[in-house]
Amino acid sequence: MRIIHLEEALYRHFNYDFFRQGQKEIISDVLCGKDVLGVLPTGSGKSICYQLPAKLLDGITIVVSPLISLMIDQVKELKAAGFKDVIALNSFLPFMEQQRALNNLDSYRLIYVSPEWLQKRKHQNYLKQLPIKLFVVDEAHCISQWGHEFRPDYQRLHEVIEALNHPPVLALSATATPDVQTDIIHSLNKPDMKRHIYPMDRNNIAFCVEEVENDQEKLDRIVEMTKSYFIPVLIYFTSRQIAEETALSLSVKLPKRNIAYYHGGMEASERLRIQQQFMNNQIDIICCTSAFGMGINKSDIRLVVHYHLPLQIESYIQEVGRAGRDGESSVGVILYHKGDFRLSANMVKNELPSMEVIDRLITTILTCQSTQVDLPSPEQLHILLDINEGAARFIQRQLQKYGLIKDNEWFIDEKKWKQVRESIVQYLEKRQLYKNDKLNELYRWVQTGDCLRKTLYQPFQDGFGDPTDQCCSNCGFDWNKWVPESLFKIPEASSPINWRKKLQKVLNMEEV
Amino acid sequence: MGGGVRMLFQGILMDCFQKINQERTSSSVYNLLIGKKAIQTIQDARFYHIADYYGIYPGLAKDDYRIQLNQLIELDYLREDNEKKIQITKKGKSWLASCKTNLDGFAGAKYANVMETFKQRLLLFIQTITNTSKKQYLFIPISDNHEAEQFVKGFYKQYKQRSKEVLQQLYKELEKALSGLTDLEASMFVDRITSYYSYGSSLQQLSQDYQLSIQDCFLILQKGFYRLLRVQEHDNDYLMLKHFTKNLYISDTPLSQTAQHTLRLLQKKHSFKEIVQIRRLKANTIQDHLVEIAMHEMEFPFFDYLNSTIYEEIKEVVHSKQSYRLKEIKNNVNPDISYFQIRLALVLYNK
Repeated sequence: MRIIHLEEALYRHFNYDFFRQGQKEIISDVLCGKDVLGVLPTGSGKSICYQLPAKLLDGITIVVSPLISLMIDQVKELKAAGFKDVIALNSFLPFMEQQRALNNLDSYRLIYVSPEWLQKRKHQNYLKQLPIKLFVVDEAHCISQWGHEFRPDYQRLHEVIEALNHPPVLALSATATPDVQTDIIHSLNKPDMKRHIYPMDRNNIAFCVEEVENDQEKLDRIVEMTKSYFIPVLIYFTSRQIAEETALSLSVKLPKRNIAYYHGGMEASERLRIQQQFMNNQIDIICCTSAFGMGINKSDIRLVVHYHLPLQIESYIQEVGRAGRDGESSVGVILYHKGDFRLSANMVKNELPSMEVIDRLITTILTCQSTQVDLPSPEQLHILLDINEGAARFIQRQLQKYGLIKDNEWFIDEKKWKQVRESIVQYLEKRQLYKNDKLNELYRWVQTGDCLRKTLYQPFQDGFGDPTDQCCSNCGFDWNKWVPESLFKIPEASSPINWRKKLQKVLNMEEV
Repeated sequence: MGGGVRMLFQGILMDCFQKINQERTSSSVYNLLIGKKAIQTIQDARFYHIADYYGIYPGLAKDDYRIQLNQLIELDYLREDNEKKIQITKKGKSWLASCKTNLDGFAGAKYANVMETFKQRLLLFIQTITNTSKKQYLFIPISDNHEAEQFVKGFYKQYKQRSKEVLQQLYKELEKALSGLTDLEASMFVDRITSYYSYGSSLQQLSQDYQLSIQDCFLILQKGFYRLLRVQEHDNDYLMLKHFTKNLYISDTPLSQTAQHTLRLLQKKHSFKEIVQIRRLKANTIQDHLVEIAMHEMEFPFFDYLNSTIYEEIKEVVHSKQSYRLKEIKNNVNPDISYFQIRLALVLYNK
């Protein structure tokens, strides 16, 4: 066997000088062909744990990734960094490109796939032809119903792994409680999986919770905070519209700053522009939804503000974890008022369908079937019912589970429905309770008088590292003592008349 | 910033509805702007002399279009009748007259097949060459387009040794071409370009910076690209820009794939009946193809399907009724004359 110097390989392929905590241990086990569960904090470079093996193994690495946009971003970045033999396969790929890719799968080293894509027998047959040396389950907490982003397709991954003749498996997550870890190992059916669990606390981030009276005060606080700091800032919202509106009002109040908004409703190429401008420090403040941040490798974000809270602690840890990846002192601020809880509770409610909606759907379909009226396909059901996509997906999965939907076709009859209805009612109640518990847990944390750092990480691990700078607002946070390095120059005002100068600069001719 | 630029999108809508003169529904102009490859849309573009706007706004959302339209109706510039046909009001006409000059500069139908690819090639090339000339070989490309990527790769290989020269020439050509626009238009165009450590502005950012609507910003950028396409075609000073149209076919209007198929059969001297059989399509569909072909091809055998009496009769009605509406013409000619014949006659009439 060939001896590989991992540090050297890391430098050669990715230009990093050293491994971060946990990476080397995980990679060594992966290269020995062991099944590994890796839990590493957000922003610690989880992806290197399979990207480097992908370079070193003599064969192909498959990565299952739950979010298509994240997958596409990662492929883009890898390509930009010179890792060319990589591709993302998902249902959004145009037919011709997909066919071209499928016929040349053996020319790739690293193949990202979505769990839905992987479920198709035809796709599995293509993969079976390949020398697969590593099967990676990214964001593995999606396997567990107790994980905050449960994805039923993830629960069928063990079937795929079997179909592919048991290649070594690497499951990765940043937010897996001990319960979730056990669930992952169980569901993948790999009892001997080696666990590499690292503490997820981030000792360079200070946590501040500020209660305000109303939304106007939130805006005022943001202006106050950002006026004196010239640093990269992310502000999180749960509503696209409020993110946009706030970006515009901030621009008016802070005319010398470059402020933009970013959310999933924007066109992909426009999103890319904003992302890259932020990377280049052309923008300093971004008002965004949770769509922003995944796959973004900006290491010097100093301040992450939550104008709205997400719906569970895990998401909060992930979002605030985008601050200070370079290890420098950074701050996470939560602005909230009494009305926020109701807003969040409403969102939780809308994430699942009500039983009335499901009953109505079944009645509609039964009527349509008996009168031979054309039905929209199961994939179109969110349009039929006018519910959000998460809720629609829930219905699809449940009906699939009981064979009432097969291959995007309806298979509903009254008798079958009567048999399964009660199980769905129970499962729905269970999920509702679970989601409400998660939300309550988050708000309990926000309102605690105890140390925020201690209580935030309690469900995940015992203890935490000493903060490198200040700890949290409950331990006495002082803004005056927080002095991050300023990054931005005040932009020079330019008038349209000077477009020739700008063009020279754009074309690298400023010396002329 | 004059009122003319501010209202570019509305101006274009008004201009279209004035020219169509209540003969079509509101969605016809939407189809025109997004460049729908339907025979009806292509025909409208020709008949009503609005081909310059054909396909100038491919990504336009139907809702945004409707919002603009409703605003114009609310302002009493336009009126919508019961049949959804749009009529321009007196107030609208005088408003339009005041901003008309700014509507020039588009050449949608002419460059319909060229525009997107040209744009992507040019922008991706600028990003590539400005980065590599600074020894920066790793960057996230603004375009995923496979064709554009391949093109730029080839082009780049050819010129990478002379990047300084290339940039200078590019500057010279862009400067000269953009000088034909207003400062605002040129400035916006430059802000959109992505180069070394400087990612171009998004439409939202342009809209904020220039205090114009997103649609107006988009259309002003398009105008810039049409300008580049035009100058490189008519002037030999634009060697660099010309290169970006390589292997792209500039035609008056695009002929759909399916119509091309029919055209090939026609060229093999198959009869109408045979074509219907060979292609297993409805006679109506083949007629659509023939009308489409008639518009594109220099030599179409019009009189295989018409005779001069029929043609003269149709022409007569167009004159007397001052209308291109098929229904209206049909009601006023001999009942034996088919819609198909009327459509062909109209194509011939406009040739």
